[in-house]
Amino acid sequence: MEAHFPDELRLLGNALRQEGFRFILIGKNRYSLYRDIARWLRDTFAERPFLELRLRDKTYHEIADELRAFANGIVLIPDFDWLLLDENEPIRVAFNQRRDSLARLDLALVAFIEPDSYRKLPVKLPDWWSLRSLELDFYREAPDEGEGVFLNTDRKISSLGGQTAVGKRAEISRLEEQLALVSPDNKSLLLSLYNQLARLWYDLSEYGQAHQYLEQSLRISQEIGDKSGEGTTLNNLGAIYWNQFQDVERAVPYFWPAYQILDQLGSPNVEYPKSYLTAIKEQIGEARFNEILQSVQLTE
Amino acid sequence: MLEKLLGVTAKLKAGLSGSTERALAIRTTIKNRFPDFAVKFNTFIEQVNERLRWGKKGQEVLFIVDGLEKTMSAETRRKIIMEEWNRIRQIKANTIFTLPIELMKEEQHIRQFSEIITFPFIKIMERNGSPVPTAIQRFEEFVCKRVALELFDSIETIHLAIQYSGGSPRQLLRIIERAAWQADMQRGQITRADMQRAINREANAIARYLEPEDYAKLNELRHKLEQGNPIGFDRSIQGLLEKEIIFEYNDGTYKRVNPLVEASKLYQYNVIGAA
Repeated sequence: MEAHFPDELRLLGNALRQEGFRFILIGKNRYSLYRDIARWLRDTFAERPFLELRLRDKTYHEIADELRAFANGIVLIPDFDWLLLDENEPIRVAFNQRRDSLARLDLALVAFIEPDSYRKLPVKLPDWWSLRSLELDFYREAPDEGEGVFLNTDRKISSLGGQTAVGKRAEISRLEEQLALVSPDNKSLLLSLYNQLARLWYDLSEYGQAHQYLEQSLRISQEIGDKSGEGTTLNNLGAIYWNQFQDVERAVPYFWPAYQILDQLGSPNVEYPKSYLTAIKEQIGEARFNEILQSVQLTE
Repeated sequence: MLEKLLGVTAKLKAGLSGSTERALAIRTTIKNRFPDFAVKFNTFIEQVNERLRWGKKGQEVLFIVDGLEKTMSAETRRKIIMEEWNRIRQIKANTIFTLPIELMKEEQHIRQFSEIITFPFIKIMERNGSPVPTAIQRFEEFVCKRVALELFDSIETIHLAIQYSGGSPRQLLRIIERAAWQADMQRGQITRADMQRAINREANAIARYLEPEDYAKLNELRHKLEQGNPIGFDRSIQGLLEKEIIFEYNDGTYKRVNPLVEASKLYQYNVIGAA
């Protein structure tokens, strides 16, 4: 880790050396970076207590109780992005209101976020944002082993997307300029651009942006009756929820129709949603899986 | 009198268990019987003031209503100030409300029932770019009260941090803290180079909070500032103030871009480069 991120880790180490309240934001583009940074911190500060606090599906009181019970040490929050989802506004309001009380604890909160979530912080968590101690960025080009598969649609995807993060961002700017000029009636071109943009954002692990373009792509696929595109896009939306949050409740409602559509078409791509669904079933158990599937089928 | 005041809500409290339910019931009762509540509350405050004077502990109670920005939504905050002012005025007590910045656009209306005093950032540079020595001196004292002077390689290193603070005490302390994290622990001193590295890093960090459309506004601001024109207040300016992208001074008509933002590569590229 030190060889790849010498400056970032030195700053992180120095910021945590003195015990006391800290709110550190770490932008990362791969889940493996969370694991590696957490391991590095546990090795570097072996004498300090650690808490891995996952926010997902918790109420404000559950989160605050965990923090107060821990009271002193380093708190790793791998899914801080979850707090920024629109539906979690009541939890954010409670957090903003109780900031001063929590900031009196000797806690170093190390919150991991997607790079594109930074801009949401001053608006959604203004009180915490104003107390931020440090922002650091960790970027890893190579995808994690076993990271979800993002399928290309049948439509041709530009090969000019660049091989580096900088190249991909430049390609995104170029495509977004094109998008601004496209006639809303040119569905085919819109579909192609949305898919290219979604792919590039996905490669950069900026899932929020990828999701936004995939939703547009899905809408057009459904409008023009492109079943193959629809199935593939549903699979990719599921992959985002799965990769970003391991969120089975949101992933399955995409994977299941993707599987049905691609299976009906006899597409070889059916293997992807199928393997996701199998992996999810293994992880959460058959009973829970069937329960989620049943609720998906009821809403169909 | 205190007993009488409590009597307004005592019965309610006895019959309710849940905190949300209780809060709602108390709010509804006070709202429906506000004139009654105001009479009792004002009498209570006057009695407290008398006691303070008798005991030579003070003249009058001052209420400070802070943290309004933490209420649920901007609309709720607006309603509290704009729609409830008639009720608020029935409470005869000296009260200071710290007003969320977004309500400054309602300034004209709010002035009809209260006095507005703006506490801007501390101006360390005049519009023409010349420094304000007294302000810099105060900031130097502010730093020296909190950090031992020998932890800096020179006073100029502190002045560099002050220059990039833009007159925000919180930003100044953040720059110094980050310079300390940049410093060589063996040497045990913050050098000018550490300070410059911290400023550069902080500059690029703050620029990440800019939205693409903010650059056009910053470009417009830059031209207005160059021409010495005052900068008014609108929704986009409000957003930039909230994100500390711009700071305001004097009576609020002198605004300038946060010097850290100006030092960022993104600002240099998108605003200076685009000019």
